[in-house]
Amino acid sequence: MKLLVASTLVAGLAGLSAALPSSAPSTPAAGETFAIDNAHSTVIFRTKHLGISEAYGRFNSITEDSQLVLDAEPSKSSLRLVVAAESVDTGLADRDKHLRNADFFNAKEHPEIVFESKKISGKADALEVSGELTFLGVTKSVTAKARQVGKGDTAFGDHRAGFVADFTFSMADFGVAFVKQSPGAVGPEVSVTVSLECIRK
Amino acid sequence: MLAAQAGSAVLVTALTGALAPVGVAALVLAACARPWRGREAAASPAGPPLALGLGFLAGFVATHGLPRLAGASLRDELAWSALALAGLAALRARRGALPLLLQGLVSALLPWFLLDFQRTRHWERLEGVLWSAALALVLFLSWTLLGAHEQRRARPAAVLGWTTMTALAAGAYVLSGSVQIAQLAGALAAALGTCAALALWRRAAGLGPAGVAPFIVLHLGLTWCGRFISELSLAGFVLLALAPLGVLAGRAVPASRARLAAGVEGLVPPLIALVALLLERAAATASSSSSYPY
Repeated sequence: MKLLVASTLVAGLAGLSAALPSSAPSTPAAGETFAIDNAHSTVIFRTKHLGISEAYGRFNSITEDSQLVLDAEPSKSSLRLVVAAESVDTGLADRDKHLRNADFFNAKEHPEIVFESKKISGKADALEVSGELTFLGVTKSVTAKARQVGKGDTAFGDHRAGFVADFTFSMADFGVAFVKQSPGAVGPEVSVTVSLECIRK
Repeated sequence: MLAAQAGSAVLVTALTGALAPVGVAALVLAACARPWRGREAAASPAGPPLALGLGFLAGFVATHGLPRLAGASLRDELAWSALALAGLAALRARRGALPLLLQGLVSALLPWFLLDFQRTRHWERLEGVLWSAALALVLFLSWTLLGAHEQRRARPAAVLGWTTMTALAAGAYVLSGSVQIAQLAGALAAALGTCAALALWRRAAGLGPAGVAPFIVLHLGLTWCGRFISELSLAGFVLLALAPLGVLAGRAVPASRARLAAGVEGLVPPLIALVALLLERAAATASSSSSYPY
């Protein structure tokens, strides 16, 4: 979910950055397609535990279905971000097992968390990415604040763009079981940060 | 302070989840059995299936809200399926169990539709066919054998045994990684326990063949949840799936020793569930590197 939101933001940022000269060495051609570099992209999340502290975690896998289309016109840019729910990692195996389970991500029944952007607006350093987040079979609109970190040709002989995005959502909106059955134990809101490194295809 | 509030909220949810099925099942059974007319008064056989179906739904609603239709998951679909089946069984309760053909049809279709996500995402084609067929066979055999058993000699001991078995299964589901599935098993145990209390008071009745329908569908459905959307071990899954059939061991006891037969009926299912629970505990302890109290 967080990944999706983050990716949405990233996509929005990418579109904006393409239109802006700030960090981009060149204006992207219309509708350039980027793949997400899973090795250099991160989706992290945090939520309250017992209302007294914040617990952190991350998703380790953004799937190959993910894609960013970057256009000089941000409104023509788009992002599809797909995160593997079972790749959740909080540094504690038992907790990860619980999170993958029916109480939280229900990863076997809903293996993917998907974000599809619907509208990207703003400037490279202040993008707004609105879209639909599908999590646990429920689709809701979310909006993320994003910014472009950088963009240009690299020493690897390719062209890359990077974005960071933040958004918050309520677990109850998507029917996360544990929030209902153990109110106050976790959440209810989750803050997500998505950092994407995208490679032009 | 906040942590204490969270802890008390969890406790309230757990209590509500246990009391709601007991209250609803008791109301339904009271309406159908009218216990104020005495132990010997005729009771409608529609009571147990309705008490189980509605009691389970009450526990579901109390702990998780109304089962979803949009974005429904296995457990939502299971709740609706069991409720529909309970209604159907109650309507035909006076004629005994549902027709064999219908039992076969429901047994074949339930695993196929409820485990659709397994077939499309996790199983190979042949694997999906074999799993679906095996689950359908276990459901059909359990349903018909237990229905016939209840038709022949319904005893409170069997319901009491299934109640304890389901409560022990709830413990196995917690260890498999899901509090939610455990709570749903707890709701089923609470509804079953209410049926058992009435059966004990009447000294004769059990679930009846009609009551077996929602019971076995819910119990096996929860084992599917434990195995396929939680991480219940294969051994635990098989044991829990077969545990209800433990009441049939009572048939090996001579008819003249009715008390012993009742004891066997009441003890074998929970003993099998206890073995499953201990296996799950051993597996959880072996894989756990540190404590995780949520």
